[in-house]
Amino acid sequence: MPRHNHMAGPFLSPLHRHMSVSMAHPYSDLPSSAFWRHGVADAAADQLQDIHCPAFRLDEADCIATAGSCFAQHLGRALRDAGLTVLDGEPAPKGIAPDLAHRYGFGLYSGRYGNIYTARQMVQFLDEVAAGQPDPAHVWQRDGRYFDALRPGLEPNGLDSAQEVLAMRSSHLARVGATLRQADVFVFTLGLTEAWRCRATGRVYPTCPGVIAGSYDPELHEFVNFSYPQVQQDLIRLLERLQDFKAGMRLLLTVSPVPLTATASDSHVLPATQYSKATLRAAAGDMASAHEQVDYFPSYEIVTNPAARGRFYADDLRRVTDAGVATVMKAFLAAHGLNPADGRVRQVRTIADPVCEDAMLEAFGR
Amino acid sequence: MTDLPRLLILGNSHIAAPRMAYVSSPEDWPFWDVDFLGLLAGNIGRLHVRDGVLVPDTDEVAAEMKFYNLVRELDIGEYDAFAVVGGFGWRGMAAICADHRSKEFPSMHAGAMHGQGQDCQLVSRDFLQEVLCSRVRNSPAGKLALRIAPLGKPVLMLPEPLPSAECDTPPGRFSDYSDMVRRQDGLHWRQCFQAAAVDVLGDSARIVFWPEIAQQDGVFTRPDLMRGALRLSPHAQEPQPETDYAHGNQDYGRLVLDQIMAALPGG
Repeated sequence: MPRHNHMAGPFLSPLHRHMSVSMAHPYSDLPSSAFWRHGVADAAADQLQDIHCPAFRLDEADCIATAGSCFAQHLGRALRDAGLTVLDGEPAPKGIAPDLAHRYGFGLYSGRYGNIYTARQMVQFLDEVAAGQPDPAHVWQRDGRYFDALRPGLEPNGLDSAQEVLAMRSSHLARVGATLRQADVFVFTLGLTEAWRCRATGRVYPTCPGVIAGSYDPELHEFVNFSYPQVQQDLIRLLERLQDFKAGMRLLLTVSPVPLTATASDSHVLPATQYSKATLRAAAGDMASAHEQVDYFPSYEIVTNPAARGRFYADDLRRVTDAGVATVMKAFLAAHGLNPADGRVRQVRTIADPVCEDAMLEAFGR
Repeated sequence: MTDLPRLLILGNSHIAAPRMAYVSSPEDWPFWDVDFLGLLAGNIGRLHVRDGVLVPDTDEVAAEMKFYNLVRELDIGEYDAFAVVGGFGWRGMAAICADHRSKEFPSMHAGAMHGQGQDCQLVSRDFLQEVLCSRVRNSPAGKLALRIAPLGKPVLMLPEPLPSAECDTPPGRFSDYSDMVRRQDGLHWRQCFQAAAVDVLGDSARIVFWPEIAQQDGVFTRPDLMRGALRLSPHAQEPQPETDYAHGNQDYGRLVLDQIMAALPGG
């Protein structure tokens, strides 16, 4: 059956007759930010307007918990600097140098859990917190020292025994649980889809065994690259778990603009990175669209904005520059009515070198 | 001028005790010609060595140096040895382990290996040791000693006295320290501090810890060696307030001088 051409001939529909009179169409009343030329090509990359309309506003009454990949450290710092209440269930001793504290995982997030790159690892961690019982299977060794496989960068020199690792983890779980029960908003930055996991338990590690500690054994460990449906399911479970800790807890998602250091997916690292980021971006966006208690903030888009012409990345084209971080944080704070110009916030400071375990993979680069 | 080797004792308010002892009977320490130089609190860490001259880093500190010592800078090239008294901040280090302790702490032994039932964070020994090392390195005494050491003369370092055994009478400034002692953690933390001090400064100075005879339970100073301590200022002879549980008196100062003389070459 031939398709009827609605635009041809004298038989215009009432809609088309109306359009032909007023020349109106769905794009005619859109703001300039909806158009590439005005919104991107002609706009300064560090002066983006209306990049985000929050699904919910953060305010001073909110208790905020943060977690995620290393880029999330910037967000936590910015929120804190903006005078918001960012929870810290495992603070460092008072008066110690920030660099020293950060090296031992203090002050990076709302607990000393280190970087959590995948949604699956986050969900599994929340399950462990709820259970309150660490799994003794996930202790790694290096040079006679013992490491928590789920945060192997936390103790640079490791610990004396597996027993000590488990004791510290047990204490950690209890404190994180108490922190989450206070949180009104959970800010999570998705970093990767690629991960390594334990074949026997399915437990996802933040680093490949053998990079910081432990040793890689294909009989025990396997590579996984989470697909869109898997990430989507994990994000749904993440929201459920969080709200088990505190009813009504809201979830604010972002995607890290930091590319993969290396891929184990048998593909070039560039498409592997794009797959990872596209998957995370789509899943986070859809999660926000489907749940009113979830928001997505486009930090990824701000840094990768073509109008920045690459200047939001450092010379290694991986690390985000201070200018990139500042632009993201300025847009985020502005979207939440926390623009520094209003006097309620202090100047946003950046972290020169966020703690990133995956950067260890550089040592293996060719 | 004498033919005796010259010793400069530098420090904060804690040099008042040995200075009082020395002024009262210099003949008791006849083998060294001793001078004293003191600044308030952490300002000894603001002294720098330039061409063999000890120079304050600001006009304010220079004015303070003039007020207490009658000089705005001091040529230290002619001294044969140095002793830095105080300026470690040992008492304040008790705050580090107020909420963070490793499994080695006596208070953590009971049930600690399960990480439960504790009112503090279980952290690693390495972390705490690194924090202590950082504190020592950045302490006023540590900074000063590391600047003097390149002169190639013997440098002794003596931490400020352990707090008076009476310090837990009123709650307040000493509460972290008193709590630490009450938990039975004092001796352990003291050992950690001593190890950190030697680790950080041992190549630059000889560290002389507290006189044995002055100690009470290894964590306090006998109160009779602290009551009646005088101020740093040469212009004020009133004893410190009764609630000063941080400074040694003249008798304590004698012990410190004896320690210094024993630790110096030929001592």
